[in-house]
Amino acid sequence: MTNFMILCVEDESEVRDALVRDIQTFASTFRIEAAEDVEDARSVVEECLGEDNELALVLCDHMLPGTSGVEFLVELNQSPHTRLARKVLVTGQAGLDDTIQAVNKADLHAYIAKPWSRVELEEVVRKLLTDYVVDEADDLLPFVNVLDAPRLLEALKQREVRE
Amino acid sequence: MRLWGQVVLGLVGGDLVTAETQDERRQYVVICVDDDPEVLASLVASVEGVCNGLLDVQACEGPDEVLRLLRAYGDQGVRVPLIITEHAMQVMLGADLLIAINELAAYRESRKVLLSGQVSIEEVGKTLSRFALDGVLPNPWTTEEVRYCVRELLTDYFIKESPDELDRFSSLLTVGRLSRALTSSEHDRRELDSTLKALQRSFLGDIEMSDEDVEEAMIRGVDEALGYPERQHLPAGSVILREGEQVQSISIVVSGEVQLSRRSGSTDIIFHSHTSGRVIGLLALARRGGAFFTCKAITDVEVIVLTVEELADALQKNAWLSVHFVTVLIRSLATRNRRVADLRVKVDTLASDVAAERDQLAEALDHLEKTQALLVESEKMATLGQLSAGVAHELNNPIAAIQRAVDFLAEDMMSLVAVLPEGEICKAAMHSALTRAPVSTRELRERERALAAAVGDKALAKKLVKIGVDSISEYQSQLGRLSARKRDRRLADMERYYELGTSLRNICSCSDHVADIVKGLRSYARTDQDPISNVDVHEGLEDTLRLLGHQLRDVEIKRHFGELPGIQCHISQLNQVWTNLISNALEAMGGKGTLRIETEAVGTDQVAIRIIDDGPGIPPDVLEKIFELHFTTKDGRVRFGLGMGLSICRQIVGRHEGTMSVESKPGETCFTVVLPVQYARSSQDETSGEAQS
Repeated sequence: MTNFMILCVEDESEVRDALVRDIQTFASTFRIEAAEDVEDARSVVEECLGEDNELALVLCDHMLPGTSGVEFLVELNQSPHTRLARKVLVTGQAGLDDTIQAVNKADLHAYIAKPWSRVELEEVVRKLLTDYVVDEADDLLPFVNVLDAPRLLEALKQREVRE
Repeated sequence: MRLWGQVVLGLVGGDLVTAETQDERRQYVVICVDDDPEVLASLVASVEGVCNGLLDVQACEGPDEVLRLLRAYGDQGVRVPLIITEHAMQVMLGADLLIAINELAAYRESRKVLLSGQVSIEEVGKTLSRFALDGVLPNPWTTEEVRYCVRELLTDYFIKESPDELDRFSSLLTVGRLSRALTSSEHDRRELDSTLKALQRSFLGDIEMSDEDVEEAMIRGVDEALGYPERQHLPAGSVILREGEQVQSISIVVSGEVQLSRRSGSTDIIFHSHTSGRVIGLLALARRGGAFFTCKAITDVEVIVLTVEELADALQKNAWLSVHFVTVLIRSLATRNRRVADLRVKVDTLASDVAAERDQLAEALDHLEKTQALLVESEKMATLGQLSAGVAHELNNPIAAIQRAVDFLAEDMMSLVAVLPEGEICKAAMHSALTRAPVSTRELRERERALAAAVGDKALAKKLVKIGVDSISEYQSQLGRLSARKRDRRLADMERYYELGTSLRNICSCSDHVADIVKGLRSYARTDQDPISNVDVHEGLEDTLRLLGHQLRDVEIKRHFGELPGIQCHISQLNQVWTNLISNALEAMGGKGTLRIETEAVGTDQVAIRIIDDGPGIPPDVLEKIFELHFTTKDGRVRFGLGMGLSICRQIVGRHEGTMSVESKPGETCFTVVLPVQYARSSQDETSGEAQS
């Protein structure tokens, strides 16, 4: 397992369970953490960073008790440690205004509407994680099995050329 | 006459000298000649009408009689200032008679007039060449013509032949000619003064004259001054003067009626018809501007049209004319002015009537719009109610089936798993997942951390917690004694069955949730036509809270529910009231804070429900009007303020014979609904569409 992390923020436990299970494909390579509200999510992020992990991807609901998902994503985008994380809104209730705010201020990468399909979710997550590791990981080989292999190999080739 | 005069003088006594002086006054006689006695009588009457008793009028039936009379007069010293004779006489033509008279030295200066319907130009010429003709009167004549002729010639006579007598005959004379004569000749200025004084007296006297008399006098004056100018006869509908036109002349309306109007937009507004007056165009002339009014004949009219020069000439010739003229003008202006004042009052009255009507209309429209909006809103609510009732009904069966199916699935899975090798362990994992109480993500991480410390492997600890193995003792009893390979396989099995259990549990809890919502929706949106008895108000409040659940995440709800008797009501309608009140409260609170819902029995026959929020409160001026309908139209869409919902609420509560009130201060706004347990109208209540939900 690498030191890259996927964080799911969802307040309803049934939905959270389903979300986490649908990204189990990546569990062998990525650390998957779940949080039920933003406060909890913050402490998870803090803990992970403390253990020298990196936040690679956030799947976040919008309608959360207390701080909203979009606010949390904006917050992550403003912190230097989490700015590069890929951010996905998974929601059935974010209005247009909220979504626009997320795109503009949180550098939102994707929007997944509930209910989702596993194929769609995996595809989005795989693409965004591939983007992330190509940009940020020193060693791309551990990811070839679970992420977009052709793109990773292409990236490896270019790195060799540069060196 | 003379006798009467003497008696009067005698009575006055000491003034005999004056009486004698009067007796010695020179006698002046006007002679009229015609051999037709009827014409003669008529002529004498006309002339006497003009002379008004100041001069005697002598009738003569033929030339001989005239000459005889003149000889006699010559002896007596009687003066004859004017002779009017018929031209066509049997014995001698009038023209020849006048020439003959002209031969008499004493009467050469008499002014001589031929009366004739058929005098030839040669005869007039002949008479004139002998200085024996001063005027020609038509036969038949008009009073005006006689008056003009007589006054003109008498004036001329007295100025030239007998200036001493001017004062005595002043009322007979033509003023224009008189004053010119007086100024051109070197007549004593005192004479002028006295004449003018007489004029002034007459002017004051004129004020006593009727409008018709003054007008007639004015027209007469114009005729005298300008030699009876031509009359224009215009048919009804003719335009005498057009608004805006430059005015070059004035019109004097001799007979008929005219109206004055001004154009406004596409219509003509009539300002004067009976109040037009007789003089048209003078004001515009005086202003040197365009005509203010359009003047139109409304009957056949007879007008005298005078140019500026003619008018000036007439006024100069005849001082009386200017007096009459000014009098007519002042009077007609006064009449017009009164008319304008009347019009103004009328316009004001009309305007205020119109304004009142407009206000009424606006009020009615406003009312109509509000009523319509209310109808639309309650129709919308009714539709929504029916829709949600329908949806709830449709969802009810599937969710019941799902709930049952997931139970069966769980039972069957349990039996299946039990027969597998190592079935007991897998069954245990599944069972633990199915029955596990919800654990927060924080708690899970805490357990992971504790277990990681015990087993010394973070990933393993995570996996263990995930499948419900939370303590080191559980781990040791179930997996601790296995080899690493076996342990991992067992872990993978357990994980699979645990996931199975989790999924079943999630289906269970989610379908329960859906069933709950469906139940709430059904009871909330009941399409009940009749009120239901023994209803628990709390259930309605709870249903409402359940349906508003998504808005209540950050709100603390404090229930202070009292013991309430069941009440009679339309459940769906009351639910609408609770929804409105609670939604409003949440809005006021900005979605967070404390919402209090209190209920209590009031006596034995009423219940009170209070919805209290800790929002900023409602300003007093808004509070007064909070139950009134008000809404705004913005961007072409109708938006309702707070009042729309509240006014519907109040209607519903009113139909239940309850009351609704509000108290508000910053930090505490309380809506109180008081409902009777039983209401009188319930039996025959709600005939049809009124029961909206």
